[in-house]
Amino acid sequence: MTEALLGFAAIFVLALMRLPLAFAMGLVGIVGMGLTRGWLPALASTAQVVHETGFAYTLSVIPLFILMGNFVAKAGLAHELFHAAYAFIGHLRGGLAHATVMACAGFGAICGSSIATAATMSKVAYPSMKKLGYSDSLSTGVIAAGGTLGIMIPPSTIMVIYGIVTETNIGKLFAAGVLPGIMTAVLLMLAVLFMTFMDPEHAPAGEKTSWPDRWKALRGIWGVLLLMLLVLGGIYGGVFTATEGAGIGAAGAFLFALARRRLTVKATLEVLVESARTTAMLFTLLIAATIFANFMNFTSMPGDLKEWITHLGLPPVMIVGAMMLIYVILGTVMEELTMVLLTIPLFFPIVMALGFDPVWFGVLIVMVIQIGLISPPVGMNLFVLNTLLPRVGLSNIFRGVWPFVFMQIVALGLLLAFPWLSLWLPSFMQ
Amino acid sequence: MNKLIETVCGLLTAAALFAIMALTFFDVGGRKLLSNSITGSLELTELLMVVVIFAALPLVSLRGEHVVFDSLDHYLPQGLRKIQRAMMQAVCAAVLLGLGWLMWQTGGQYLETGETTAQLKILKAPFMYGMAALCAVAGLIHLGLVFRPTATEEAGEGATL
Amino acid sequence: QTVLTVSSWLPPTHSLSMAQKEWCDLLEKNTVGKMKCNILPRGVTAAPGTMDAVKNGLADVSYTVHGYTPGRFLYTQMSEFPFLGNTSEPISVAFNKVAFKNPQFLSEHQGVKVISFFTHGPGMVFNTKRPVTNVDELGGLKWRVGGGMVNEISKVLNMNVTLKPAPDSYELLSGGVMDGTLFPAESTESFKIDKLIKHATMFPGGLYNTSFVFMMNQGKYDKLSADEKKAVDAISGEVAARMFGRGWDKVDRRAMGLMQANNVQIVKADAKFVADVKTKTAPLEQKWVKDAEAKGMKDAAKVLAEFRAEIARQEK
Ligand code: NA
Ligand code: NA
Repeated sequence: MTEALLGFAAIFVLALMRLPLAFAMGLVGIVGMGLTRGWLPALASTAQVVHETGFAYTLSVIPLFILMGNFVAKAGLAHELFHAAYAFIGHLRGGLAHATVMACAGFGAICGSSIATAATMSKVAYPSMKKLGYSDSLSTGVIAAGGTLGIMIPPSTIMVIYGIVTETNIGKLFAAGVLPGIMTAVLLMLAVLFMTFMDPEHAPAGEKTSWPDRWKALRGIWGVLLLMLLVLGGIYGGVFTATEGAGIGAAGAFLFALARRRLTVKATLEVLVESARTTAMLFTLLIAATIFANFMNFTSMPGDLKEWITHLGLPPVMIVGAMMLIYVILGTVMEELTMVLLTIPLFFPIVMALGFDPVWFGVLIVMVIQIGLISPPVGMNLFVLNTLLPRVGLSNIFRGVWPFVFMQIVALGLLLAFPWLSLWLPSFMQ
Repeated sequence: MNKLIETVCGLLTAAALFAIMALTFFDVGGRKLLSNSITGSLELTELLMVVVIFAALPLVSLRGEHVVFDSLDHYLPQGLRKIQRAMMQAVCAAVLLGLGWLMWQTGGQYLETGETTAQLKILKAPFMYGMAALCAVAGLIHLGLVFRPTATEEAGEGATL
Repeated sequence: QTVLTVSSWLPPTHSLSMAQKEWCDLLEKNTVGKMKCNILPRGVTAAPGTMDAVKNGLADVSYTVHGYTPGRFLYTQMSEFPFLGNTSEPISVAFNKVAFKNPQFLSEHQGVKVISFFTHGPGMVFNTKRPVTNVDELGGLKWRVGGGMVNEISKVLNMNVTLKPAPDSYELLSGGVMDGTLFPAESTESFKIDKLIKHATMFPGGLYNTSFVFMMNQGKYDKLSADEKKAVDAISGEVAARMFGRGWDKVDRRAMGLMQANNVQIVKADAKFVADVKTKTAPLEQKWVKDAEAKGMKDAAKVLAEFRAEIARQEK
């Protein structure tokens, strides 16, 4: 147990000193194993982890889903989504903000990244809201929060990573995210309602669209529907595996972007290289997390923790609830991927020992990441919007996002209290 | 020099990623429509994955895109910050150069045992050597950054989440 | 007290993990607790890395499939040919008798101390579509196969195969991505495809087999005292092979029962089917003999014949 705790402490110190997390975890893992098991085995094991993670067929979902999201963003499919939602509810008070949430949810169904979703929607939805005279705080808040739907509604990069690190079925995780994603979208729309109710100045009503134009706008979203059907229908309909589905989705998104003349050779190269860089960054983290987990495997920690928790005698849900509280608090100041990768080796075995479903815990993890991404002061989605819309100012963004953070915390509570929200759809898979 | 690394590694990783995508597309398409999949598509994907990951690694280092816990940045005085950055770049360089050496040794072992992929019988050793070389390149980039530790400061935000 | 760090890439409830534990318990009992195993909560590496993990001392004791490291093991492919035997135990025992007599088998395992060789039960053919009663019908469906000799066998039988890891079987078959898979009976249960498959074809002696090795880190073994070495040696080879073999046979039988309960149509390959497979796979055995002799085993044909004869003797 002592070795394990020292290991965790060392990682925290190194990370605080600004050593990249991957290097901190990897280094501590190697040194820890060297001291407990011998240096030759430690080096051999490191080489093996690098080899296995590098030559891994199933891990090809990671670059392919990232690539799909980046091509989809390039293809301009977000415009049609927003346009369709706008046509139906744009004339209501706050209608554009509601339309943004709906468009985010739709876009989330073909893009696995929260940041990509927020960045794309900021280019599409913000100008319309600005034109209609929406307040900056409401428009940026709703885009930042809506963007996080990208990681709950499948496909989802973060679910893939959670699935790999904890050896949980990724197909089930994807299915599990559907209902919580829709529920969160509804809650975010409630937050919009609340904001416009409290201060109508936030969002003047727009013009009504005629029914013929509405149907026309609705026809525009066929591209998104087609891609979604292609990937999710193909995976769950048994045409191809989840791993292959990512490749098919990426190829489909590529063909779409190509057909819409959004891709030059240079633009394609940029998308490919950007996706590859993200992949390489993630794989260094995965490799390091595995090395560290291998070290933990040699310590007595997994057994000791299990014993300690069962001795506590607390209701299991309360223990998970306490973990979620820690995550929400840490998430305000920490980068979320760091937070989750650091704590999973500690929390996951406990949750398993308490007899919970790893899929359910995975959905909770995605939810706390969603919260962390938009909770000030440190939230990646907020920073992305600040970079893309420099005129708005971070303080305006911070001010507008609070109702959405609150609603996402409500969503977290609901997911915690009603596991069937997450587990009902996956229960149809064996 | 940086320009050269960016071009070579960029082309390499982009080509490999595109190849994985195309390979999956034609493999599944062939299986569904012509009832015949591409032999060894699984192991080709594995070999290409190695190229995608490790050719992109120097690019990540070059742009300072590794996930860093930077919340304490504002509390450190400028001078101290510079020394701290330099130290951490040195650690990164040491880790990556060490890893390069380790993978080179491992590549040698693979060459000795003659291990191949299962279906196409492609030797794995050259890919291990490539891995090793690219780790070393990334290590050298960090070594260069020891002397101008704030060069990558505001450069990149990883778009993972 | 000497503690061996033991790793298993399969869950603790799997027959192989249990056989390994059985061996550990026997070692502890025989040495009155002077030697014992520390079985790690999870494997130190995924299956393909196990050989190197033991070689490099990451784990002291573990087992693996020779075919997971393609290109490294040739001689042991002898135990993966068609029609060797109807249960695992006799094949495994014969495998040890022959392999320990011919030093080439051990020379392929530099860096690890071989405790025992073993194989699984007879390889069968499972699918979700239709009965497979002849070689042509084998060619008409899409199959998942693992690595090793089974890969070559499926090739010469003109099967449309894709190499995918065994745990992917459920996803591949449930979705209809593939029509069937090649497995020993047990694996239908452990990879949860027992409710998916509709048809099974059994071959007398099995269509194929898979070669395993149970091993110890060489350095760890060398450092043991003379008494400790003796204790390990006493339960190596045939003794350990019987544990793994019996374990396989037990779960194979259970899986066959489960198939009957699930109404799986079981076809027994007839004489014509067997003869056809024999004709088509004969060149593989000749190739193995030629390659083995080129690599340094004198009279490989005789070794193979001896292996088959020993299995027959064990089966009696
Ligand atoms: Na998504
Ligand atoms: Na935050």
